[in-house]
Amino acid sequence: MSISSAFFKNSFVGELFNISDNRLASMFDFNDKEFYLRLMLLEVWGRTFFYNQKEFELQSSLSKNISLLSLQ
Amino acid sequence: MSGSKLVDVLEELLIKGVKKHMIADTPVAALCSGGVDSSLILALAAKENSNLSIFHADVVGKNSERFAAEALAKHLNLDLRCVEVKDQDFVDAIPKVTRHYGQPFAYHPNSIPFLKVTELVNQHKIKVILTGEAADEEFLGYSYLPTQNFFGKVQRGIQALLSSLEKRPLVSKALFSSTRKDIALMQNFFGRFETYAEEKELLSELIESNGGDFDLNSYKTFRLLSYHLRSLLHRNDSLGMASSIEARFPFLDHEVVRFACNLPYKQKIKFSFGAYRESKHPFLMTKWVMRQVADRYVPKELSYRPRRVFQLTRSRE
Repeated sequence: MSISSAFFKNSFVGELFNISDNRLASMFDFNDKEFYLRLMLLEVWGRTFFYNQKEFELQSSLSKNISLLSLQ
Repeated sequence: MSGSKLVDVLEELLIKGVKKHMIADTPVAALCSGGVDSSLILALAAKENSNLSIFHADVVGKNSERFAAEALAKHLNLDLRCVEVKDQDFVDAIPKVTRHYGQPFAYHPNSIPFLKVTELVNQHKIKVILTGEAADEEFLGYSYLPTQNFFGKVQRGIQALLSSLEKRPLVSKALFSSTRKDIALMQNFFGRFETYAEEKELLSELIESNGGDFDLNSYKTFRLLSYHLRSLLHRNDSLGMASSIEARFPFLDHEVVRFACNLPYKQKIKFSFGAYRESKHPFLMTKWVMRQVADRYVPKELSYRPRRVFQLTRSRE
């Protein structure tokens, strides 16, 4: 699974950690897939409970920004 | 007490525990992951109810355990109902699982197959399921445990070296980029620091009450039950309730917990030629005493089968 850094544009995690979009994008150079996964799950949590995004909006955003190479 | 006597005692406690957990005014079913823990529980439950319904979440791919679940169902002559979980199902379910789980579920990606299987259980008008939760904590089933003492020392040594280097400004600038530091900051956020603080308290209390003469290996079960199991139970409760399903855990029957906490480490992890296929700890068998009980109820190839881990990006338990 690969997650695009575009998923984190104007993101909850950026606001939470006070990190700019550019700096957040630079973290994606380290190829730490487990870290991206955790970050993505934190982002979904923040958008659900703090930004009140609906499930279908989140699903659509995830589908646009996640490429399924293989989960296993 | 000898090893075989301990196996008899555990068997008796588990039979009683499963019976108690099957008391309900609605039909009780069991989850069948294909692993030894749930296999043992459902085999004992099937002794009580020969028409027991059993359910399996088949995470499609090379780590699928469907073959093991089917083999057990055939052995016990039970009907196995399966739901397939494919890659896209995982992505689609993230928002729903997050809403029910109430927190980022980074440590338990298998929350998604769990939700899917409880949805299937609900479709069959069943409200109570038995699971094999807690056996890994009580009888030390995690694959990192047999080598934890050795690798833990190495890891602590490396960490001490890195933190001493980080304190030197020139070295720190050369070795640790600001992005790396940002990543470290965020990773600490996932570090479950509040439970570690409680864990330290628990450890110091145990050492104090044992007058300093305390075997750290005995502490592993306490530790896993007190902080790791808590998050698993939260998963089972919140995602079970998402489908109006009550999950029950016979391994958490108080007598089984008492037995496990007092059981010597050497009866949990044992040298055994039968464990030669364990890639992370060859010849060291985890959950030894429990596997001996399982051996009496499920086919040998299932009771001694190495665990397969549900993976997302790399092996995690």
